[in-house]
Amino acid sequence: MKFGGGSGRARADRDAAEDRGTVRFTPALRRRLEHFTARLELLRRRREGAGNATLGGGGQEWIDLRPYRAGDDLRDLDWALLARSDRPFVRVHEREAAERWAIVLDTSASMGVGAPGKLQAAAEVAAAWLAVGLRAGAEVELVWGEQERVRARRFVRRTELSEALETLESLVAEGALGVGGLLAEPRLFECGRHVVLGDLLDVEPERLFAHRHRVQDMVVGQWLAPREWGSGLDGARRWRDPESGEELETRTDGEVLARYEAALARELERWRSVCGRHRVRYGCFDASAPFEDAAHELFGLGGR
Amino acid sequence: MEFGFVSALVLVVVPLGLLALAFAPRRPRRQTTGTLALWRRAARDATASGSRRRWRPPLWLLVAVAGLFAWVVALAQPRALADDREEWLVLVDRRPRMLLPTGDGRTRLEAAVERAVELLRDERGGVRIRWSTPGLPDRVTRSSAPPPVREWLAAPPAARAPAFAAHDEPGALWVLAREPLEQVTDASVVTSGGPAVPGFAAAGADGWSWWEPGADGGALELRPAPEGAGTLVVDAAAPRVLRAFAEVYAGVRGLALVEAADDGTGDAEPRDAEPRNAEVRGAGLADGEPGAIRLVIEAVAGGAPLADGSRVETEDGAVATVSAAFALPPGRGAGRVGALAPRATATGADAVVLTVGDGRVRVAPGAWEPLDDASFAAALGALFDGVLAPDPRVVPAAGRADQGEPVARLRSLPDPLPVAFDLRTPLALVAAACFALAGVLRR
Repeated sequence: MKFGGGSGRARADRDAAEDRGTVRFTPALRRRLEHFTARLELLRRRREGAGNATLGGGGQEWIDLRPYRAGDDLRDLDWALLARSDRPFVRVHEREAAERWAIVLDTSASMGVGAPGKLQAAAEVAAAWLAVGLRAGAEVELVWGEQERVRARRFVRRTELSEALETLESLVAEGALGVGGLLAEPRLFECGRHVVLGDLLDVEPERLFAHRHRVQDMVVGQWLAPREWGSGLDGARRWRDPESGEELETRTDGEVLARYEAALARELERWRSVCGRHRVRYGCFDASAPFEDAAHELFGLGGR
Repeated sequence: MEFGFVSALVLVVVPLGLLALAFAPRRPRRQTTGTLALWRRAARDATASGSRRRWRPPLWLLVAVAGLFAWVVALAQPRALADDREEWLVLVDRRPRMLLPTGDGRTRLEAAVERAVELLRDERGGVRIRWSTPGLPDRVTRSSAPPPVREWLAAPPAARAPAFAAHDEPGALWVLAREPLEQVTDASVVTSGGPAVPGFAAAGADGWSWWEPGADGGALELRPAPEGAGTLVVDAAAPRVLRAFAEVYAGVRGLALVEAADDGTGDAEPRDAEPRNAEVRGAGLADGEPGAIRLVIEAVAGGAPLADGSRVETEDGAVATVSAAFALPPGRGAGRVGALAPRATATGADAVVLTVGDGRVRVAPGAWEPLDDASFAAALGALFDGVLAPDPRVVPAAGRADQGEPVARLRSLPDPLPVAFDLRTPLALVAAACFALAGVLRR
């Protein structure tokens, strides 16, 4: 219990220090990433198995699954998964995957909220996608914002994974360029799969899918800091938007908190609804949760 | 309240300080969020609905501070001081003799109770008094408060004395008319004193007991009973059916039946036939022959008309119905001398045959409807018997003989009440309960 008094500036500094807008892949995290991709590879092989020649589409190795879309070859439909999940998925073959993937990572200042920050959580999942994509032979385009400009870097070979991780570790949550601005990058239109990762607070769902017809597959991951879920709050707060600098002093309990949580639930439901309508895999996660939780859902594994 | 370790009270500043800090204005915590727009909307909606409220400390903190306060006070070894030093048990004789006058207009009861309170107040200061009297619940007052004597006067007098002998003990105070004849060792005594009251005391088979005060203290005189069993005087204006029943009743009860002429002057026989032994006016009985035992049934002008022929209402409000014969209104005559004295009993061989009260049944004139004979006879019979029935308010010979100077004497004192109660344990328990509750609330 903290009582009134004391230095307000010192406390503000301390609160600011709680937020972490950087990315760091510890050795333990790297091992977990490696373990995750290995498990994913094992699962892929098990699913492909001996039926590869007949179910895999002319003997091509499939490396991923995506939701079924009208016009897809029914031979690529994963019937076993359909029976289990009651949702149609088609296998993505190495040839298709090799076309190009784009990982759009939000690095705006709001991604630095919380400790660990949302950027750390999103970058961990981005690393998983990078590892899987490079292992599958895909060209992976990593797109992010830096100093209000769109930056992109392409990774082609599996050996570039450590370089990709270093790139991710160099990212800092700053500026106001979010997913909305990143999606305007022309290079994205060359990619068949888009993986959009961020807090999605600066973009409307409809805008995200404006160029959906050019993209074969899309995955959307959203992260919120624990305090943004409304948990653990009481008393009053002076909120500051890290991007615009606007401030708001309000109570964070009672009816105000209830109304906030209701509004947030409506917002997330809107995202879920729009993504479902576009047959896009979507998940919203707590930034403090292990990256495996988000990765499993965004990779369409259903369970661990 | 007093404290054995006053210095410990300095620690009260700890909970008080915590409380002050808890209520002190707080600067809100600054934090960043990406959902500022949602917070702004929520705050605006909440303000619009009037739900904005000031910050207040959590309940668990207030409970914990209360526990801390109790604990600090317990450290100071508090003791609660008792209000009263001692408690006296005052036994009040409320028999009819205590309702006789003392000569200054008060009853013996009022004089004695007032004297008892004065005695305790003067001798013992502020004490607690437990008043006990037969027939009524105990009352507890302080010596500075008025005793419940009005309540006692309004109630019917007691038929028996308090259990004085069982309370010959320290702290017991007897309030009665005169000093007890038996040996008293520990109980204190207050008597009313007052003059002996002349008059009829009791009736017996051999005659009537009559108290005659004299220079030597007075004596009980046995006078011959009136001749005959008694007289039933019936007003000519009384309803016919009542007169018919009176004739039967007089025959059954052995009364001589006399029908008074209604000459409208008010001087007819029944109106003058008030029993001579009745002290209805409280002046005692003049010398002369005691009157005959009479039961007067008279019509009273202006009385309430009979409603349905099954109800008799007297001037005094006494009501007889076919089903419930007779009822004296509560408190009738209580505290009045006249209502106490005039009771006589005519005796038969083995049981009470007749009694005479104030000797009158007053009935309202009116048309008495034909009634069920049996129930009517039973009702009126009970009514007349009620008028004649023995009454606990009769003052016996001993009561009339009570006299002498008032006495007010304290003997053995009661054990003193505890001066102070140690409050450490209760306060420690309160503190522990508060801490436990605060822990639960905090969780």
